[in-house]
Amino acid sequence: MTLLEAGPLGGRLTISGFLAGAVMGVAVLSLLWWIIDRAAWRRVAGGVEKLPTGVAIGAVALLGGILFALALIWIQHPLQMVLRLWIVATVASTNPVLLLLPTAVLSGIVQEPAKLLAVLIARAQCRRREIPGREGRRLAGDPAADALLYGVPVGIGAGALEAAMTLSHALAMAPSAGALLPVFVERASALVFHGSLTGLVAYAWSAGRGWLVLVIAALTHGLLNYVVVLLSTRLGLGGVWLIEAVVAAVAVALMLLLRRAVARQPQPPETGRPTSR
Amino acid sequence: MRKRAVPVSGVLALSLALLVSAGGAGLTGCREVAEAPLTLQVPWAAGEVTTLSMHQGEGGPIIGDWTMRVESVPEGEGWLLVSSLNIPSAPYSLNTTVRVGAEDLLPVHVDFELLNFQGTVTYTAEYGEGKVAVDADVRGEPQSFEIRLPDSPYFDNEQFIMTLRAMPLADGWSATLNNIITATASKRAVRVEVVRREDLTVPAGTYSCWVVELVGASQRVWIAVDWPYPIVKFVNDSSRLVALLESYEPGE
Repeated sequence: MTLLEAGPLGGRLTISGFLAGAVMGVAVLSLLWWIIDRAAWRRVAGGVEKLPTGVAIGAVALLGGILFALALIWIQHPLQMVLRLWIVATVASTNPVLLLLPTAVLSGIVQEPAKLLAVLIARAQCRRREIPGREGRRLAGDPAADALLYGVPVGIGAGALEAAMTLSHALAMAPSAGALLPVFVERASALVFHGSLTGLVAYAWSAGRGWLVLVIAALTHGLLNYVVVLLSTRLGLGGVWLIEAVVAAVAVALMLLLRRAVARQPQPPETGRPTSR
Repeated sequence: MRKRAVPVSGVLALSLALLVSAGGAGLTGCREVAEAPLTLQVPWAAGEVTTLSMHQGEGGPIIGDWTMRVESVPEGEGWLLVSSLNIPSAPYSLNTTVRVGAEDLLPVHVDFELLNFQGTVTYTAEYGEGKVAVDADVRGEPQSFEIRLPDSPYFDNEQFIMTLRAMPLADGWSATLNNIITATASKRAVRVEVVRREDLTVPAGTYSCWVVELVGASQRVWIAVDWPYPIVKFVNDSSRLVALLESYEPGE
């Protein structure tokens, strides 16, 4: 495969890949909501009375996927091309530790702000519609609500797009069902990763610590990509399950962090006024 | 407005853990390429032709063919390593010619042509002092770039497999080689190891082979133990391609 053959989204999207990605997205989104805090979700969802929740959540996820794709096509891929060409023309070394770091980290720097942008757009649209909460409480400004209603779905939308592209290729190339197992495991972990990390960023943004957590999230995402790529170059296909374990461990850790944050948040006052910005 | 508690410390701790993991992963198997000097022995002669059949998976159906020829440079010293890989059903056709030095096998010039369902990609790569300049035509769009070269020795990816035949293969031998992948504007240090000796029967006959693994690339090459060390089998696990020796004609 030559440099300029691989497109920014990594190949062609097939119907089977799209359906597989969508189904996985719905499944992981449901799982995350169920695990993170069922009580908080009922509290949050109970306030969304006038808007069909499923459609709204689907729209938020779709927005996340669209902005994610645009960020990949318009920003990440062109920047990675320029950066990659600069590195190989400047650095004489063939050591992948040096060569792979910048482009891997760049992915986190581009993708996390793009997902946050989707979160902010979705949140602004819902606020404009003045969705009232139960007991007259507005949901706007509730970090847990922002995380569960916007952050997690946006992350899932982005992860589902990635899954659709990856699975399109895998379903076409895999010699057997068994060969697909690591791909599905890896994509499920990536979905949990995206949903949880974006949920954390959305939570932090609503709570006034957004910029700091956004930077940390971007670095975390980039470093995870770097570790995965580095392990792949060192171990090849023989290290696939080790790589799966690393991604899954990070994804679960982020999910637990988000669950902890949501669970610790006190109930907002029933005043009908926003409780934060 | 009181700022709410956010799991910053937890996320930070996770990032630091990843940094440590990244450092560990990066150092894993990290070796300086400058090991003991390589002693190359050119095994081929002008006119050599190696023909392999391409299979989809181990024991799978034949889907194409791969021919490698060696020619002498018409005016001057060196070799032309000509490769032609065709998979009609894909469709996929890769034709390359690499001019290399007569003794050191360092690349001098590469001509590359790839035809697939997306169109045609061609490029020429000119190896010079400290860099290789690539001029490409990617489906009608011209592109150019340079790759800074590491210290010698380095080999172009299009000659890499053939060049393994010139290595001092032996039980337990290993080396880290600089692979310049002009087709993707990249380069990497590739660890090659002789993992075992194995007797193998292919359409061209039965050979005793060194099994050479390209660590991290999911590729293995079976190279005959006996002179002139033809390539007997090649496996790429990533693309599920298996190449088996169909016929071998030594050069003059």
